[in-house]
Parts: sequence; structure tokens; C-alpha cells
Amino acid sequence: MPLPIILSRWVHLVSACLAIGGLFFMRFIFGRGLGLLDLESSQRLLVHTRRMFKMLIHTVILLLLITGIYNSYLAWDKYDLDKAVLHALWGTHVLLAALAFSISLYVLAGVKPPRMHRGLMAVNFVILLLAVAAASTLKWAREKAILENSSHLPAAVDKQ
Amino acid sequence: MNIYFAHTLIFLFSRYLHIVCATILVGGTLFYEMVVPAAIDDLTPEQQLIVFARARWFSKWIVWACSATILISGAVSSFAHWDDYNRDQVFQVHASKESHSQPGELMELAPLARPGWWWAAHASCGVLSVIIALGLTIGKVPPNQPIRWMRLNLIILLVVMFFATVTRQTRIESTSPPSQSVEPIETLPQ
Repeated sequence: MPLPIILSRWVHLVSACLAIGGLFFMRFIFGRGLGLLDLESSQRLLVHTRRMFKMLIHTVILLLLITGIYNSYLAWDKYDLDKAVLHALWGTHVLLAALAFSISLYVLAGVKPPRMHRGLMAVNFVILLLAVAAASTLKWAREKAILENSSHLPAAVDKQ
Repeated sequence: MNIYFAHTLIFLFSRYLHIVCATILVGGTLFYEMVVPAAIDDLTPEQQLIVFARARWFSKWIVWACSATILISGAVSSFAHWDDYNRDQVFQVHASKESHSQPGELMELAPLARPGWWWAAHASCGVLSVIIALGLTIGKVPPNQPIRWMRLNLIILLVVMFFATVTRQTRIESTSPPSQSVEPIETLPQ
């Protein structure tokens, strides 16, 4: 069993989970939790949480870049099996991810959040979901291309 | 509508939902277990309780919806790959420079290379983590030591994701021929 491949995919998946789930709770849930606090405590808490979240996101972006490059390197020859579709999906995934990283870095830069931070975080959440959709479709299309390419082989035999 | 197209759409969509709901559960658990406690350290115990209680109330429906979606989409994906998970033999073709028509043979899969076993580990641990997540949000009062429960659940969720990754890898390996060792067309038994 190729452990580096499995570990790299696992780290990529976990990092994506932390980025998307963390962003969702930070933007849509945690803010509501501050509703009953006074304005000063609520602002202080938001800045504090943002600092913690920033450290998490910076680490996650680094891990996503490293594992993403490694995963692409491993699968690159398979993308030639159906160049038009697979390269288009891979490119879309990478572009959306790059856009999401840029927005995250901008929103979390500095001590205080930018004026449009709530809107930008919501947009970023949607972009991340689209990036996941592109990755999911890419994986399906790659498996299909591999199977179609070797369909003349009785690759595996059922138990029956 | 083309049946193949409909099946593809359903399986693709269920996989997508499965991943998105998993990201929300894992990311949310980590957010509440690691980010929030450190951030609310300066507040008074009463204020900490207010923040946690409000956030718990709002996240309750998210956790329930994600849990239901994960179970349903997981069942759909399992159905789609059921034959692969039940496979314990694989057809292997030997590469040979002298003869390109050497017949292949049925090989028993090693225990660790059987996708079905990894699937069973993924599914059972996944159900356990869903039960813990639901237990943390059921009722008006959270259970004792909620942070410890969340920490435990986070570890289980990470293990579940590892099992999912291995399941996929072993499934692909058991259904695809070893492309690097042989050109399939040239070595097929006639």
C-alpha cells in the first residue's frame, strides 16, 4: 500500500475540512454566539478569535499547497488520458483554490478586519464549495478515464 | 433521461454532499475545540457560558442536517461501489519482454489490500462519530466535559477520514490494472 500517497491525500482532505468548516462556523455560527455580549466584549472576542483562526488558516494554506502539488505530480500522467476534460477540471480547481487563498489572506491580514470582511467570508465559503465540487468531479472523471482506457482488460473478477 | 447520466449525477452529487458535510463537521469540531476556548479565555465564566450556549444552539441544526446527509450520501456511495468492496480477488497480467501474450491469473488480495475491510472500518467509525456529535447537541444542557468529548470526536473523525482515503486507494488498486508495468492491449490473452 503506497503510504505517502495515502498520507498526502489525507492531509489535503483534513486541511480542506479545517479551512471550509472553520470558515463556515467563524462566519455563520460564532458571530451569532456573540449576540448576547456587550459590544466591547463582543469586538474584543472577535479580534481574539480572528487571530487564532488566522494561525490555523495560514498553516492550512501551506499544507494544501504542499500536498496539492504532490498529488498533482502523482496524477499528472493520468490527466493525459482525457486531456480536455481533466485539465479543465484541474485548472478550475486550482484557480478557485488560489482565489479562496487570496481572499482568506486579505480578510485575515492586519489586526482589525477589513470593512467588507463578512461579505468576503461568505463569498469565500461559496468559492471553496465550488473548489470542492471541481475536485470531486475531477476525481470521478480521472477514475472513469483510467477505467475506460483499460476496459479491454478483465481488470478484476467478482467474488461470484 | 439517460439512465447512465442520471446514475452518474446522483453518485457524483452524493459524493459531493458527503465531502461538504464532512468538512463542516470536522472543521466545526476543530473550531469549537481549539479556536473558541483559547479565544474566550479572557471572558468571565458567565460570558463564556453564554457564548458556548448560543453557538451550540445555532450549530445544533447544522450538525443534525450534516449527520443525516452524511449517512444518506454514504449509503448511496456504498451502493455504487458495493461490488468493489466485496471483491477479494484480482486479475493480474504479468509483463514479459519476450512474450506479449502471457495469460493472466486470479490472485487473492492481501487482507490490507481489500477495500471492503477499510470500508467497514470507515463506516463503523463514521457512525460512532456521528452518534457522539448528535449526543453533544441533543438536549438543553450539554453533557459533562463537552470539550473532551469534542476532542475525542475530532480524533475519531480524523481516523474516519484516513480510513476513507485508504478505502479509495485500495478500491482503485483492486479495479485498475498496474499501468506502469504493462501495456494492456499488447498483453491481453487472445
